[in-house]
Amino acid sequence: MLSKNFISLLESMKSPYNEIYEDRDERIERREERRRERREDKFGVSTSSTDGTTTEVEGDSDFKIRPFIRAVEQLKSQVQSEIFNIDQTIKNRESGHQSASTYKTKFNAILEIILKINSKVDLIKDKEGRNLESNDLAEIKIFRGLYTTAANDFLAAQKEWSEKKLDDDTKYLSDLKDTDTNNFIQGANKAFEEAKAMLNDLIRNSQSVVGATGATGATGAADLATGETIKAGKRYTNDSKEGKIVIEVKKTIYTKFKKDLGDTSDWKVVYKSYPNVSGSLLGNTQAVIKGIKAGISGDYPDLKSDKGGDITTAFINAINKVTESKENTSGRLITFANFIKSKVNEGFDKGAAVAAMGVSSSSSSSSSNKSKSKSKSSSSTSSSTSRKVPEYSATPFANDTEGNKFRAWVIKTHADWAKTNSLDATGAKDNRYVRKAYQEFGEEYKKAASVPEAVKEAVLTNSELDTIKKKIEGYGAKAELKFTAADKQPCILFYSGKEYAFLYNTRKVSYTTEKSGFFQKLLGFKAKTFWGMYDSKTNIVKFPGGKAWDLKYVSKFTITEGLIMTKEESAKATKADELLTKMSDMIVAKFSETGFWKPFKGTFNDDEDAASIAFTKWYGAKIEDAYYNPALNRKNQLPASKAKDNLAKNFSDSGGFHLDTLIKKLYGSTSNDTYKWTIYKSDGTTKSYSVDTDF
Amino acid sequence: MRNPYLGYNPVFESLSQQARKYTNVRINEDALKYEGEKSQKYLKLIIDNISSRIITFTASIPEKALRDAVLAKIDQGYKTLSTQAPANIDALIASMRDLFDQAYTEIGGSAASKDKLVPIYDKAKEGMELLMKAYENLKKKYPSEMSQPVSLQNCIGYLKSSIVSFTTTLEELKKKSV
Repeated sequence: MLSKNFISLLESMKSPYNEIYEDRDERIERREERRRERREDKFGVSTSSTDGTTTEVEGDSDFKIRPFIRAVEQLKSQVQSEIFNIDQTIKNRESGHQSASTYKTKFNAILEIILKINSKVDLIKDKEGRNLESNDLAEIKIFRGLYTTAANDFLAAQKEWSEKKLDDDTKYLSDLKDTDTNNFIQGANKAFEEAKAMLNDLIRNSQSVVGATGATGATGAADLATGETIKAGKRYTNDSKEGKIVIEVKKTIYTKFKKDLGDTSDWKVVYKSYPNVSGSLLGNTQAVIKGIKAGISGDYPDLKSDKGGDITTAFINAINKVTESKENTSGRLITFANFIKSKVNEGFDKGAAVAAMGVSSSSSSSSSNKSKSKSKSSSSTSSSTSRKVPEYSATPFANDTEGNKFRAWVIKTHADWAKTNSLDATGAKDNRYVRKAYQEFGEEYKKAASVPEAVKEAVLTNSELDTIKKKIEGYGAKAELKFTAADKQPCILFYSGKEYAFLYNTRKVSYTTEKSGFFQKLLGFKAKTFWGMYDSKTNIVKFPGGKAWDLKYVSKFTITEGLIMTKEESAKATKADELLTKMSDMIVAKFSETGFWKPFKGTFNDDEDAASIAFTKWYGAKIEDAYYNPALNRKNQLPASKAKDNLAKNFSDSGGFHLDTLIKKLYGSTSNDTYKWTIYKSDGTTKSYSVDTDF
Repeated sequence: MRNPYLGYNPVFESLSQQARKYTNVRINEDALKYEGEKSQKYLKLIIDNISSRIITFTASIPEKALRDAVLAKIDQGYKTLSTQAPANIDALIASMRDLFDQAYTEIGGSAASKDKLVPIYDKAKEGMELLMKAYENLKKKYPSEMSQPVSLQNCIGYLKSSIVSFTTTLEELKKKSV
């Protein structure tokens, strides 16, 4: 035991350097702490001061190189995997090999971007101690932009390629006709596709880790299985599948539509704490979704009839395709597309959107002219029919290049106007913005520039339009003279059933096919608009792809199939018609061929067994492979169309082309010996046949 | 045809009647050929699919070190398969399946990847099981075609084609410094 005196003596002997040592320890500790912080800043990892273990730091406020590298590596592996898959498809000549090369090019392009990212990241890794946060915002933007482009392009290309391959596989299997084996193979394909989708989820997760979603720019909302819907009016938990999709959709909407709807009260409620958004799909979110559906329905006809606040596959597909708001500078990320070439959400109809939301903008004065004009136009648009009259006359440009030349001219000669009216240097040849510009400066442009013949040609006068209208009515269509909503230019609306067309005074013709109903939708049939140019001298309307029809047929709306299908596909449909006719003729002839049936005829009883066998053999040898299967194959190769639907009616009998029924008739198992059937041709016409099966 | 020099023989009459009944029944060689082709098409589809899925799922492993290790294993496995001809299609398919299982085991053994990749590979495994069932079904339906040496030769041909494609792609990617 030490005495108190001895302890006090020891205290008095204590060196002042001890304090210095303590200071030094503290300094070392602080230095370590700072080092740790730097590491966290740069690599997104945190090193524990106690056990030295390294963990990832949560949060998306900083750019973290290590998770970023991991995300890039993840993406690279999947791109490589698809390249392997495509090469296998090509080399093995599997179904889908014809279109595989196109996708290989796409995946290779994505791989190039990834390699570019890798080389840049490697450089940065080598520069120890460099702080990316404070000085290198542009660099971060480039990284994130490149990554976002690569990831989005990959997900889109992979989806397209998978669907194409799956379609081709299904067609191939249906031709082989072995139901059990087909079911197993199709089940396997489905499981593999699901596994791939799970891999894609890894990419999406990585996107959020590297800050490529949320405030920094959404990459696109998650996919829903086809036909799946997330019902509005529910509070989904953030962790549920639905909740996660709702959150992604909200983030995507934020990035792409803030400029258009950011001043509405519903928007402000939904995005009050952005980037924190919930998985709820309640009133305000519903209103925003309704508004967006109305705003973009011009470009996405699938959404026209959808007035609800549900999240559907069509909605997700549409918002994923919409380019980001040009003025979205609040987010840290500028996508690569924006980085390289700014694009604007040109097709958004704010007036319709706000009307659909049932609220007014809280700061309408700040709305752009674009929005104002749209609001005005949407309210002034009226029509005696349900068809919406376009705002401005169609432009006469044959392609985007001609349109872009005009855009460039307007931007150069009327820069202020172009800026105020958000006219981009490049874009569609005939959207609202370029139409508006053409309305304003078209005449001046015609004089100033050397323009295509179609532009030089004078517009149709009112009396000429009247004559054409009468001509159209003479062809049997209903026609009305209309004026475009905003620029009050005359045009002819003509229609038959649910199909309609406009002939503008610029001679352009827009031809819209039947809108999709439930069954057409089920069969993949969608309403489509085709653009053509009317030549009053020849009365011919020319469409892209070298297709042209007399106005008479355009007015009768009998050209839909011709427009939807390529020349090769039309030829296939015609060939299928011929094969069906030919095989029916052959069957009729066979039943009239007394020599064929003679051996089976008996004085009292016919030998029906032998007759059936003989007929089946004849059918197998002469009909099935020579006519039936070729006709079926041609039908399967057609795109979703009425022609395909019509032809499909001939192949509903699982036992071949009326074979089972004819055999039953041969056995006399029905009361009537006459068998009648009808063939359905691609053009909708039918032809009936009958045979007497009592040989 | 009745021989007038022979007496009536009921057995002969019955036989000739039977023969007459089937004079018009001929074996449809086209149909047989079609069925033969069909079984080969299915076989090709199954082999291509197994091979392609093994490669693509292995290539999609995110961690480079693990991916390279598993790809090397697959590469080696393919080389062995193409040089040591299996006795029959069953053995060939079992060996291919074994390659997939090896990849699965490697992933399961990786502490860094197993949590996120095993569920994905489980799903792919489901697909593999269904492909195996498709093959079993094919064997039941076309037993003779499946046991013919030419079918085995065809299968080896399909596999070799896959291997050539795999190696070429691997080389192409290496050239790009991936």
